[in-house]
Amino acid sequence: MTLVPAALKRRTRAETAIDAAFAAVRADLPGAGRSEAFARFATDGLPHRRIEAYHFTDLHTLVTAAPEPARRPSPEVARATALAAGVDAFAAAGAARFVLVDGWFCPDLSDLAGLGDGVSVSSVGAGLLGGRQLAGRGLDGLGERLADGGAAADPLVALACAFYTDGVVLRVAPGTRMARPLEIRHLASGASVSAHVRHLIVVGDGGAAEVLETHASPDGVEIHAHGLTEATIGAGATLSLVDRQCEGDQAMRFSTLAVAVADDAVLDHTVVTLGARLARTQVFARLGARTQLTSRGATLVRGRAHADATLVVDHVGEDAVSRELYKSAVDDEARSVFQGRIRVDPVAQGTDGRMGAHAVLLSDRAEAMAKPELEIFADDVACAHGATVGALDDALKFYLMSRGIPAAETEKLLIRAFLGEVTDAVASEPVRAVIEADVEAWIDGRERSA
Amino acid sequence: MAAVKETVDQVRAIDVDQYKYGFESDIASDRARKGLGEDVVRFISAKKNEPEWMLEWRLDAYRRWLTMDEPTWARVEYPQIDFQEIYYYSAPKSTAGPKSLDEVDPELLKVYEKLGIPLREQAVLAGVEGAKIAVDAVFDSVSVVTTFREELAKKGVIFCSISEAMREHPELVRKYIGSVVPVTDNYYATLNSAVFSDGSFVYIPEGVRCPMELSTYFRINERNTGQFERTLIIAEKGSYVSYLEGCTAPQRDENQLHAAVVELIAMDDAEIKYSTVQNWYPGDKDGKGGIYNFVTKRGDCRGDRSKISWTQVETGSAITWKYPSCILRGDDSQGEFWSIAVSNGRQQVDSGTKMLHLGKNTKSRIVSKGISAGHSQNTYRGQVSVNRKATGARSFTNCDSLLIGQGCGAHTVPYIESRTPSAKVEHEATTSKISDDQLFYCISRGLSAEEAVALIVNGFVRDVLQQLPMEFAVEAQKLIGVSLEGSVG
Repeated sequence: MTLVPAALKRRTRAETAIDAAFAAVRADLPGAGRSEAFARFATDGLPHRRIEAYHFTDLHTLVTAAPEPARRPSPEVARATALAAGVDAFAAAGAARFVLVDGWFCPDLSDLAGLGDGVSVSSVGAGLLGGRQLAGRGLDGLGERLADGGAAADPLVALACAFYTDGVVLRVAPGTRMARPLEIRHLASGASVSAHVRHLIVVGDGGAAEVLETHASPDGVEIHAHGLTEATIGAGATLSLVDRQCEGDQAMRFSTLAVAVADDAVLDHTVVTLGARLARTQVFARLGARTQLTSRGATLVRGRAHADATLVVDHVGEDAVSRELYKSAVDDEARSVFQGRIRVDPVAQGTDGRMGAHAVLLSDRAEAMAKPELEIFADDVACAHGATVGALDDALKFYLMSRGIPAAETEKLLIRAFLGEVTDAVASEPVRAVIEADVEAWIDGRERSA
Repeated sequence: MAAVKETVDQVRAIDVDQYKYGFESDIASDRARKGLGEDVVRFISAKKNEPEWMLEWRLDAYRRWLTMDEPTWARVEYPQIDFQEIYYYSAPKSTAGPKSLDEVDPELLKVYEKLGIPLREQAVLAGVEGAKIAVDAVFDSVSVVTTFREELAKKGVIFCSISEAMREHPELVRKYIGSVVPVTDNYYATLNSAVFSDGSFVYIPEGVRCPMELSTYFRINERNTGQFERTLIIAEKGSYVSYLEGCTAPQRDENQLHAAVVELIAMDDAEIKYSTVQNWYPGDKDGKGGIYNFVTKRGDCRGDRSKISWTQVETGSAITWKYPSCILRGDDSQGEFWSIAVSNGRQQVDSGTKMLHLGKNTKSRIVSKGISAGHSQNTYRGQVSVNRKATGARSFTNCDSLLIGQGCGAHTVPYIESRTPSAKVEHEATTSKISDDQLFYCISRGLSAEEAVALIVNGFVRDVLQQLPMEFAVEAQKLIGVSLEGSVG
């Protein structure tokens, strides 16, 4: 039956709260286009399972509340938050730091020196106050160009566009290479709030940029963290993007990356999802001719967490190569979702696309859903996808145990090896070390809770 | 077998007109009024002398259908169907229950002769001994004749039209109809439940291996009619049946609707093999005319160790919307789906399967080969779902697409849902074009470009063709070649 039941049409408590929140903050938020964006969300509300893109992640039922939008934290709160968050894992990578607390930029906690000539970093919030318009359907009109991939119509994108308070604007001039990576560090004060950020990354032709993003929040607090990153990578340029999501166990995280990759450019993207009660990470990538895209993901979930990685790779130029590999380890009653779509435009002859999605279920009640899609309109292509779901291999366990390795240790080893295919591929040595430590900590945490 | 050879020769003889079944026959018919309403549902039920409960069942379906919307999730596009412009019942006039073939309108027999369908038992017997096929021929809305009934009856096998079954074996029909595809399953299944006019009924008693292949041949002849057939196959414990289905329609400018429902039920240790060669008129090269094939097919492996295998060769129809599925309820039951979907011209195919693993140690295998040429769109859409209780389940999907030419599209949309760690679910898919090397090699050996493509394509679909009963496989192979004519060069 295709009738949408009345229950789905009724406004939920969360939707009502979001409506009220927008009405309350609208007047205080500078920048145009917010009402239009909110209208796009409000028409259909939170997406439910009958909306194809949200088939496995029914926000209509999963999101039961909507905390108030966060106010700008006082300097004391910001400092205390930074202190509580402890040592910055990416410090070893020598990264400059752009720190946000509850979605607001905190210059005092940030270190933006030494990025090099031709690299400019500013805050979206400052731009808004200075009257600079970042709105419309996308920053710099990028959203218009991304409309095909479905980003512009996405309800989470609409929410971020309506509510955003701050974020990073990173511009790398043509031919310029960043002297050090930029880390965007998102912290949460511990108040139950909704935070909305929006970043813009522009890498000029032939430039090179490296961005590391960390999301952290304390356990036990329901925060809703919305993020939208729009990026353009100029011809022949390179962008490396690492997104590390270490949210607390009650957090809800919604991230979208919408990126346009110009001819001959390279995008290397890694996302690691740990924690969060509910996580939805979306990537919309539009690939020009001869581009190279690598997107890899590791999802580690336990408890009753639900983690969704959704990917739309749109080949619109000839001879581009895309490689996507997403792996998830699912424990307890958690659920992992992977949705990946490779779309090949009629003009994108010579496309070489490959997508893999693999999940290992570590407990009797763990679940994994996968929907790897191919949508191909050009004939001279080589596209493939593969998906597997299963438990750790008993034969391998037996082999390791027969070699004298204790049972608990063999599981750890196998999980590490399973995720190793993703983590090993991270090129930067210090960054890889951080991610490996994350995986290790998760595996250890598994033992403790068992 | 003579009849098949004849078919093959006919296929071979085709030159310009690629659709050989496009002829129209002038046969007097008896129709319901145009459009749909409770009166039409009552009219159909009365025509069939149906029991009261059946009429109620139909009316209930009709009322529910009125509250439903057409599904829009498939990747197919077509103008809004005007359900009031269709005739829901059309029967050849002279066929009020023919006792033997002699009573069947000779014009009608000629149609089947042209189609290469062996309705005369002696004609079949003249062929190779042991390769007998019993045929139920459905013409527009009614079954005109069913062959080999006595021989089957000796084994206790019931093979007749469903309207006859409703009169002769009401207890069986009432028990099983709608038990696999519920009345409100989907828009078209509900419509079918209200207005279905005929179809085949098969009952294989416990422990019987059906002595011959059973087959149904569907033909749409009348203008503006929809065909809504319903097939019900029940295989009792330890029985086996292989069932074939074929379809054609005249070549017309308008679109015609075909919305069938097929239900299969396999008890403990039973096996049902269901093969389809679907060759409805696909429309002309500009996409004018053709059949809308919106079909619901589902098998229920109700018993332990039961097996249902779907094999389909889809070459016809303007639009195909079809997902033969298996509910793997019994422990150790198995479901298979073997599919070749060829699309050319402006055809649109959205087809695939659902494998729902409910019982322990259930197995499913999906092999789908899609070939798109011309300006067609070919989508595989499949779901593998493993229930928490389906421990030890195993599923493998392989789905390959081949693109011929630049105007077509090939799409793959699998849904994988696993809820138990002891299940192993694998899925792989590839999309590519015919390699230039292979083409060059074949051509250098003296094949024409078209022959080379046909050869390579036949290699591509070989795994699936091997699943078809031999007589069908030969025909299917030729059909694929014919469907792809004009796609190269």
